[in-house]
Amino acid sequence: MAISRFSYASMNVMDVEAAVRHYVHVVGLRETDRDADGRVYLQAADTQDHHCVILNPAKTAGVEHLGFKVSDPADLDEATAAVTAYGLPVTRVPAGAVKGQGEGVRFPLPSGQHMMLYYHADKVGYLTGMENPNPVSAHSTPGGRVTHLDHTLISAQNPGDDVKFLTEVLDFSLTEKVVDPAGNTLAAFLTCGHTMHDLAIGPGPDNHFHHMAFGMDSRTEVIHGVDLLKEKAVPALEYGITRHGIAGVTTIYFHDPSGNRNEFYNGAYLAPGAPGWVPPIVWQAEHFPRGAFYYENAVPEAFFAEVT
Amino acid sequence: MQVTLRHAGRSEVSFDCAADDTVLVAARRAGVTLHVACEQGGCGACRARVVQGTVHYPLPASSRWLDEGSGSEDYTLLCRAAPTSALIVETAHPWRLRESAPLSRILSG
Repeated sequence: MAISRFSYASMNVMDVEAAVRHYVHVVGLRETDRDADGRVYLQAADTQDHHCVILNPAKTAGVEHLGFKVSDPADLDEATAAVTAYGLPVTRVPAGAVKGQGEGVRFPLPSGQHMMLYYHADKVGYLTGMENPNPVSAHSTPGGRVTHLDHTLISAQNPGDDVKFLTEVLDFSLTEKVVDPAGNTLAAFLTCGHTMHDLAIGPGPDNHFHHMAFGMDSRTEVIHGVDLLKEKAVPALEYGITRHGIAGVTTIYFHDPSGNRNEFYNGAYLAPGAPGWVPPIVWQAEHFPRGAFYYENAVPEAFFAEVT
Repeated sequence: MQVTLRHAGRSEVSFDCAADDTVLVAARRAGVTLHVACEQGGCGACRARVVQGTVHYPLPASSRWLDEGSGSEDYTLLCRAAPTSALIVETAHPWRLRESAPLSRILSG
C-alpha cells in the first residue's frame, strides 16, 4: 500500500457561490471546473492536479469525503482487500464520478468520515504554466498566497481507533501524539508523505470536520494572509497570528461562509521515512495547551468543541 | 421583537431585536456576548432550543444543527436566526454580559 499524498477535501457548503468567492478571493485558489451536479472544483497555484477542494451544494456544512492519491493503480485492489478485511465497508467509485478523476475506492474511517483513494487525476498544470514558467509564484491572483492544500484535521471520540486503522491498514506513520495519563490517545498527527502531517485526528464528536490547512511559502505570507482576513472581515479565531507547539508552524484559523474552518500556515517540518520507522513525538495532556497554541499556552474553548 | 435567553443555573436575559437582525447582532448591541465560533451557521456553537416563538433565516444555516439529528425543528442557530415573533430560547452554552468598564461605557455611548 502506498498512499502518496493528501490531495483534496470535498466539502459540503450551504451556499456554493458564496463559498466560491471565499475560496478564490480569500483563500487564493483558482476555479478549475464545474459539474452537472452543481459542484465546483478548485486548485491551488502550485499543484498540477484537477482539484484540491470540491464544493458540494448541501443543507449542512462539513466534509463529504477526503481524497488521497495512491502511487500505483493496483493499490486500489490492495486497499479494497485490506480495508474490507479490517471490517469497514468499501465502495468502488467509477472513473468520472468525481470529475477529473479516475476510479476510486471509498470507505469510512472508524470515526465515520469518508476517505477516497484513487490513482489518476486530470492535470490542469501549475498556475505559472508548464512551459518556460516564471520561477516566482503568481502574486497577481486574488486572495491569500497559498501554494497547496497541505493537511486536514478531523474529530473523533476515540482518536486511537483511527490511528490504529491508518497505521496498520493504510501504512500512515504517526509523527506526534497527545496522550492522557492513562495512555489513551487524545490527538494524533499522521503522515503519508514527506511532512509531519497529512491527516490529523483531534478530540471531538465522530464524523465531524475540524479544518483544512493551506500551505504558504513563508511566515511573511501568513502575515499578509491575516491582513487580508481582517480587510475582508472574515471570521477568524481570536488567536492569530500564532504558532503551534505541535509541528511548530505559524498559523491563523478562519471560517468559510458555511462555517468550515480553514487555516493559513507555514513551516511544517520534514518527517520522511518508511511507514512506522519515524518514532512519534509524545505530548502529555497537561502540556497540550502549549502544544496546541505555543504563544498563548491555552486552548480556546470553542477550538475543539466546535466542528462542522 | 423581544428575545429572551435561558440557560440552566442563571437568570434569564431579554433584549430587543430589530426586524431582520439576527439574535447574535441584537445580543451584541445589548451587551450580551453569546458563545459563537464560525458565525456562519455551520459549526453549531450558538445553537439553542426554541422554547417559544418562531425565526427565519436570511442566510443559510446548517440543518445538521437545526434538528440535532432528531428530525424536529426545535433547534436554532442564533448567529443566523432572525425572530419573526417574540422568542424564548434555551442556549446550549452560557453567555457573558459585557463588563461595564470605563472604556465599554464610552464605546456604548
